[in-house]
Amino acid sequence: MSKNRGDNSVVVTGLGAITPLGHSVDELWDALLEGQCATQHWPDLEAGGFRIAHACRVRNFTTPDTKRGQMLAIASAREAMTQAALSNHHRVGIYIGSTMGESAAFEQAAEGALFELSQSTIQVFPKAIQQDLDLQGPTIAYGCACAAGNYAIGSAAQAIRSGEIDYAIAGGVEPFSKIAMLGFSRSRAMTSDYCRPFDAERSGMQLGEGAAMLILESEATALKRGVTPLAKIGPLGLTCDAYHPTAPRPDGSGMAAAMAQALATANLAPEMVDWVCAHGSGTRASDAAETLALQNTFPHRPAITALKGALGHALGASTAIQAVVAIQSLQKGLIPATINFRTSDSESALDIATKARQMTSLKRLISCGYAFGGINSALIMEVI
Amino acid sequence: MHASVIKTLKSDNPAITAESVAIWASEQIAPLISDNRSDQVIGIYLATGDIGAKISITFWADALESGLAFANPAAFPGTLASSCATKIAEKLCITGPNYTLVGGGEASQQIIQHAMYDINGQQVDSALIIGIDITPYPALGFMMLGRDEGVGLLTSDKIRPCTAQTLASIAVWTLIDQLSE
Repeated sequence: MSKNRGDNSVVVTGLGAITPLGHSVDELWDALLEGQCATQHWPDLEAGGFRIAHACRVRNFTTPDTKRGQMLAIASAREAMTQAALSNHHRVGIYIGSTMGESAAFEQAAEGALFELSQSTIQVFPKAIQQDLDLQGPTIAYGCACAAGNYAIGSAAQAIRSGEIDYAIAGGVEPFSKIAMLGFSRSRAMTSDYCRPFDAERSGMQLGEGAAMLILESEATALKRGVTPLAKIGPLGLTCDAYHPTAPRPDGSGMAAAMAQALATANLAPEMVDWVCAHGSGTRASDAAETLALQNTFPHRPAITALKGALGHALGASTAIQAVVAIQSLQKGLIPATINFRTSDSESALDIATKARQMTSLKRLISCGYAFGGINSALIMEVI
Repeated sequence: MHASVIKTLKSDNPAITAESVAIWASEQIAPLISDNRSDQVIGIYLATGDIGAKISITFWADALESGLAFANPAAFPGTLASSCATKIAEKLCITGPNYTLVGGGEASQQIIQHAMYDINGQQVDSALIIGIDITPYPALGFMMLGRDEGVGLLTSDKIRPCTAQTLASIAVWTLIDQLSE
């Protein structure tokens, strides 16, 4: 297959994020560089009967439970719009990824509360942003599980390249979900320790939450408006393992195929990738498969960071949060560490960043996200 | 661009899980997928209004009734909106892009547009487009898009000539029309 994603330059001109490590991009970035970990014990989870009561939740952000995702999405979109100096005079498409929607609404419906489906599924997130910012344009909701943010960003970039829209808010959001907390715990995917991506003693994931948004537009449009492009969005590689509802292909071939597709679409050799912002969920199976995929795709051993040790797994928001951090890294020539990583697997040859690392030569990275059902995504981003 | 088949169906069985719906859909779709496709990249493009949501409610209700410690882990993947599209991929061995868009009629239109982008951009050779809802009964519409000579639209009861420009709108109309019955 060839290669039309990536023909025209799509740039990022605004970033927004609200995560367990802060209510803004700057707070997130500073916390990551300090090596902070957002893992915390939550008494309400313990009292609710959860076997594991540690998670990474956004603190000091009080919302109605059934609107939490919408409020997270709006907060991050406002920050991104401000940085990009976009107003509601512009026609802005909104592309948002998530896994479930307003999980608390489903939980309350199961307990007998009145429930309006269309006000609780994933489609409510882009519509809430549109209404809050008084925008005109298409709204699209991607239910592509833990890769949904990459799907949203890649599709928004495609829509700009095609001329369908001039501007996009693209990203992901995930409110904290007791359903997910229970499901991952009962699936034995969740650690009672810390999340330790790629560590030899890793024992599982930890649930997170949050939202992250990017403002996308063509480079020509950004320059014409006089705003500073922060980074270029490159091609998105997408594959599906078609293998198992929860487990990845053990050889990592589906993950590697997504990376290879992104590289081929961009006409890049693997050694032109300087850094990988990896999925790194901290589970035995997923990290083992990703290790093989990275080793087979990138024999030159680029630096690797996985953010889930610091932030937990924000599911549909996780790849959008990765994108925000990745663009910060491109801007500053500095990559954050893989928090809680201590010891490599004996068979691993990955160059895991164990401390924040200066990379003044950082020009290009690939950000990976995988999901239940074998969904694989790999998004390339570059310096301007 | 060529739409080789479009078909709409309803199940008579209201007792569903995400997995059972996906298996039922896969059985309906399987004849559409050529056996001789080893060099073909096929993508799945699925639009739904309620996959994931309904299962989430059921999963949580069952957990509350039986106790969290006894919640069924096998039911959890069905709480994800993507669960149906990935299960269909697994059943039919489809390894290309796997999209799920969530929404009403606009999602059906958008999913076809995504498929057309990927075909025109040569990201996929053909696109399996699926509309599926589970309330009140499982309802399914699907069609294949591919890069063939000529343009046409085959529905379950008639063949309509159409242009590439009208293909999406006709297909969407048919899907929505059938699913909303």
